[in-house]
Amino acid sequence: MAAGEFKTIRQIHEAYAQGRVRPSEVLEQFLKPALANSHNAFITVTADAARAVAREQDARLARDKAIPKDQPLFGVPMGIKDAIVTEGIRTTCASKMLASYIPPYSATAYERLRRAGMITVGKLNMDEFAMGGSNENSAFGRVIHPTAPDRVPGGSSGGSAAAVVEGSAVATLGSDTGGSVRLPASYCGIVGLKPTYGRVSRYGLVAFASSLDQIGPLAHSVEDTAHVLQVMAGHDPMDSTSSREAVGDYVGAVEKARASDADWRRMRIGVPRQYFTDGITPEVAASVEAALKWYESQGAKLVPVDLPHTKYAVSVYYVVAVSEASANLSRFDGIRFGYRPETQGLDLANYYRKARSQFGPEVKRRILLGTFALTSGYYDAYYGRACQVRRKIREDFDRAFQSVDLIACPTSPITAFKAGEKSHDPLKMYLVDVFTISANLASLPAISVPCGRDGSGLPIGFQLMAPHFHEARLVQAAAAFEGRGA
Amino acid sequence: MKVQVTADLIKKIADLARLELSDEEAVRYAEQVGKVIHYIDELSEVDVTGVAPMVQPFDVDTPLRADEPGPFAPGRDGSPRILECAPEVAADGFKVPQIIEGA
Repeated sequence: MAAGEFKTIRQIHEAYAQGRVRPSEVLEQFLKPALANSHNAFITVTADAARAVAREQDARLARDKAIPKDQPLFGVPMGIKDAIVTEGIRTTCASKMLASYIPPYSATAYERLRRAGMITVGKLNMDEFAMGGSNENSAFGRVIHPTAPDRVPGGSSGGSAAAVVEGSAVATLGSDTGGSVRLPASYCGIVGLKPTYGRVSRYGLVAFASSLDQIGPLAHSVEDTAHVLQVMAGHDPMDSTSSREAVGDYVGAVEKARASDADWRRMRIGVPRQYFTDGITPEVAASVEAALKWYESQGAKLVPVDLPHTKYAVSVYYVVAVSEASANLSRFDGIRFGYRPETQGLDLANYYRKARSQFGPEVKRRILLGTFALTSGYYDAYYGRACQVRRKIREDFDRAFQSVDLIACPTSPITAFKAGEKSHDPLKMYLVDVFTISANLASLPAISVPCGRDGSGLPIGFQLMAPHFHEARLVQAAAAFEGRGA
Repeated sequence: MKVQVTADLIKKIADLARLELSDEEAVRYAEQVGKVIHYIDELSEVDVTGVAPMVQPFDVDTPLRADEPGPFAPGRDGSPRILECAPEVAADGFKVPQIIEGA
């Protein structure tokens, strides 16, 4: 493998094990595009700190002639979405509100990756406070689609997807509340995985919607997302919503996919009637149908399923998520961290108003929506009712999973759209999330896998969803598709 | 339930959220937020009789732990790192602007 060609953990670790390359050299390959930042993927690049870690790893590798057994991400350069706190490294959530915030602690997920030997390239651009589907809502400028400069990369983890494609990170962390890992992965032609709610600790993930948020990996390959998930997953006492459910063997699941009698060949894949409707472009429909037909040709069974409350998912989400967000963002009051206005003699209410002036328009819109839904007089009809319909959506999935092992659908009805095309119409932007949102509402694990390109060369992704805590099943089926050959 | 989302209603809501909006913003957000609220009104079609609201994904009791204090982000020189976030420090605490008159 020549310099400039490393793309996966497997390639890098093979080269380290054979002594063909050092961590510092691999890092430089990824630092080059990171520092050029031609897609505005990064808000902060931590080149010096990264080089210091790599130098230590060079010495360790030279001494031991082997990758440390307890560091499965040894010498792997990664980017971290700027919604995840990293001790001593500026963390902005792409907001003016936190433009100079330097966290005094790190997120658990980040710490686990760091201890596993991952090298931090930098902090990735995103929609402000994770609110958006196009990464056009950043106070640090929009992220540019890595292969189509007039297009959006998807959001809110747009930087996380662009970094992988442009070669400035082997894998990245994003966060997914309504599709924010899977959507940009789909638009940019890479893999993105959202774990089951509670699978990965949310401690240190700046909260958007506490009952929906999850940190998830993006990478070129299913195998690499599995490696990252394997390191992050597991109970964390610092997150009271993190699960004690046993962690699966995700890396092993990729291996299992290769077996001629692998489980995935016998899987029943649910195809929801409600997800294959008019709104999907013909090219997306054809590409996703071809993917499903491939599974069928290998022995899997396609089973029509019914998810009757699908059409209400966007509405439920834009009540529940925004309500939770309005509560979570009330902590930005200019007292303990973040922007503090330069004003004296204000009463408390006016002090808060001035402190909270730094939110962008999308954030303000969602705070207004959420506050409205929780206001007495509207609470029952909006928030209360949305929570009831959320349960109906969840029950649809519980019922469907009684007769299938996985559920498949497009990740998005469309491919990457042009910058500015939807930004004037918030509702139009919200409807882009229609296929990803239900997995968050039902707390299910879901993965987006590239399955083709449209006439303009724009990537298309299909999505697999599994029952709670069955990420290994998801990974196995996704890895099988990825490894199918031309 | 058809709510009339006026600039006035938006201003009242903004006030609850301690957001400051100009008159122009109030009109603009009223239109945009109003559109979304009217879309959301489709939820009134769903039969939710006897359906318990879902707030927590899984039915688990809140986990408890022993009430044992531990250091949070201890600083290199012993002072708590959390103070590094403070715009102004006074006597080992966050100094905040005076907001109570005569205090």
